[in-house]
Amino acid sequence: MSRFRWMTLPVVAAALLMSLAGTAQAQTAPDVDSLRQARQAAEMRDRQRLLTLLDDQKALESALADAREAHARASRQDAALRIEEAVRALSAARLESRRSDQDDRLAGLLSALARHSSEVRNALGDDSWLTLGDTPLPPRLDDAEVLEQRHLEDVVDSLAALTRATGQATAMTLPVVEPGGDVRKREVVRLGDFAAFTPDALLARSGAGESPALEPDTPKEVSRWLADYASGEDRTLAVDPTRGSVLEALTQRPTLGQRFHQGGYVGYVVVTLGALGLLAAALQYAYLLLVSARVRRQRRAPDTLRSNNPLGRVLLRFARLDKAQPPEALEARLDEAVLAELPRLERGQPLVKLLAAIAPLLGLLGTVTGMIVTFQAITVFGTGDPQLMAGGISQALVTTVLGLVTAVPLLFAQTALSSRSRALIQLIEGQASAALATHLEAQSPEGAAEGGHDPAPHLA
Amino acid sequence: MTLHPTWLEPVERLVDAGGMVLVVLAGVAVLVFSMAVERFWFYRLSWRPARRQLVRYWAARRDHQSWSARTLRDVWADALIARLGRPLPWLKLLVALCPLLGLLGTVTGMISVFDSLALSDTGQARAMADGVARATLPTLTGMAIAVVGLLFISRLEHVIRREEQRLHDRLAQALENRELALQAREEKDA
Repeated sequence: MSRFRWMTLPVVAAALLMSLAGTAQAQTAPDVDSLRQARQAAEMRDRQRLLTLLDDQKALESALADAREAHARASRQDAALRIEEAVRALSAARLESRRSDQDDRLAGLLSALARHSSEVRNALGDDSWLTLGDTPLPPRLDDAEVLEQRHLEDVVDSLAALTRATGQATAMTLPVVEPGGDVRKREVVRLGDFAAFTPDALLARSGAGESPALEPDTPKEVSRWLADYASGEDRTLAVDPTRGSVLEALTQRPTLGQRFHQGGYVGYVVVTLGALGLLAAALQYAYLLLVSARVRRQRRAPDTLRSNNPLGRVLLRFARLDKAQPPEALEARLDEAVLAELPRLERGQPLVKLLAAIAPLLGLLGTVTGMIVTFQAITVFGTGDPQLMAGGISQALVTTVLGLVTAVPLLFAQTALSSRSRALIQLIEGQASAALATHLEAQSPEGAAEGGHDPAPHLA
Repeated sequence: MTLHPTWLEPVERLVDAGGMVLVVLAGVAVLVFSMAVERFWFYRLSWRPARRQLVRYWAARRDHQSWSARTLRDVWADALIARLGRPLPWLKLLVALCPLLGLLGTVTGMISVFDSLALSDTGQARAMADGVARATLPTLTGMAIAVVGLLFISRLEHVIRREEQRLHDRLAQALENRELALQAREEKDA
């Protein structure tokens, strides 16, 4: 009933407003009288209308009945709709719960697939040799909103292609970064995921999408193997199983020349001294060789005494002596003559001996100073970096190596010099004594025929 | 890669473990042993005939007592003895070289130890083991060769000393025998 009243009231109000507006428009020049007249007219008209409505009681009744019937129909309909709504909501909740249930599983599956595909890519793609050629990497699944059959097929296909490529040796032409930074197309042989190389150098692994770089310090032996392998002559091959760290270590390993320079000033001094000693020894040894050749010639011709060799000089001096002296005095003069020859034959030996003794000592000195430097570095930087310490120590040891390496040839030279000069001196002394004895025997009446002959085979 | 015969395999492994210094030491050892063998054969084959020849020559002389005769005898004996001891300085050099080379190998091995330490981040025992073997083996080998070489040297020196005495002994004995023979002939003649 209330709804009905609410429906009728606006109708009345609208009618009132409409009439007001109509009077307002009609009275373009408003004044108080005409307004009042208009109001009275409106009141009259309304009263008239009410009267007619009151008269039409029957019509009102029927309209009310119509309205009630409509209301009842509408409320029935409303109840049916409510029930339907409840049923719908129930099934919607059921569907929602099912959907969320399945959604969790599907999302988990998709993210796991995406993760695995990117993991496979990362494991393969960053520095794998397999990416060098045209072998495709498995596609990333991160972007896929909905997983479809073809995504999985792509992944499986590219994985299968990669797996096949690991067992193949492939030759291809690729841009390669050279040590200077130039990029040039080179013949490249790829052996699965183990190695890739040009015919003369190994390649360093590089990140995905970058050209591989030539290894700057490929060992000579390895590059020879590689050339043979690339030309099909040999099946020996160098592979770095540590994925580049061995090659990196090889690159960092100093060459022989760098090692030598690691020794520092002490190393230079040691080697310079050694070179000087060896030079002196070589000169003196050449002199001794010359002298012994001359002495040999002198011994073959004992009658013509030459003054270009020590034996000849000693014998010449003996020949000029006054032979009337007693044998002891003659021997003393002869010894003097031999002694005068000694310094020239033994020249250089003390120097070589001294250098041979000094070289290891200097090397030790270099080691100790290197250690001091190392420990100073430790005082400054702490022991946090054992590599720093190890590098310093191995540098310090280089000077000891240099000292020992220098001492060995010096010792050889010293032995060669001393043995040759000693043999020469012994020969000269013996020959001089023999000459004296021969002379004395020649003077004595009985032994004229003997003495000059030397039963001991010649020396030197 | 050249294929080595199988009997060389232990040598190869030794060189792998000990480095180049070990090869040099092996060369020194071969030299020392061959010099020792050479001296032995010299003593057996050349020395005794030479000594006998000298003794005979000395005994055949008429004059044995004068100053000149004694000087000549000393000169000849010295020259002969010098022949026996001629490789002695070289033997001594090689023996002195052995510990030096061993030390050299030790130091180079230590350098490789420290190199591997500097290259590998953590102190891996396996990375060091190679260098430690390279550091210790040469010293061991050098010492062993030096000890054997010292035995040779002392033996050779002993032989030289003994032979020197024996030579002089023989020279004197040859004279005595000659005197005795002369006396016997005189008695016989008388």
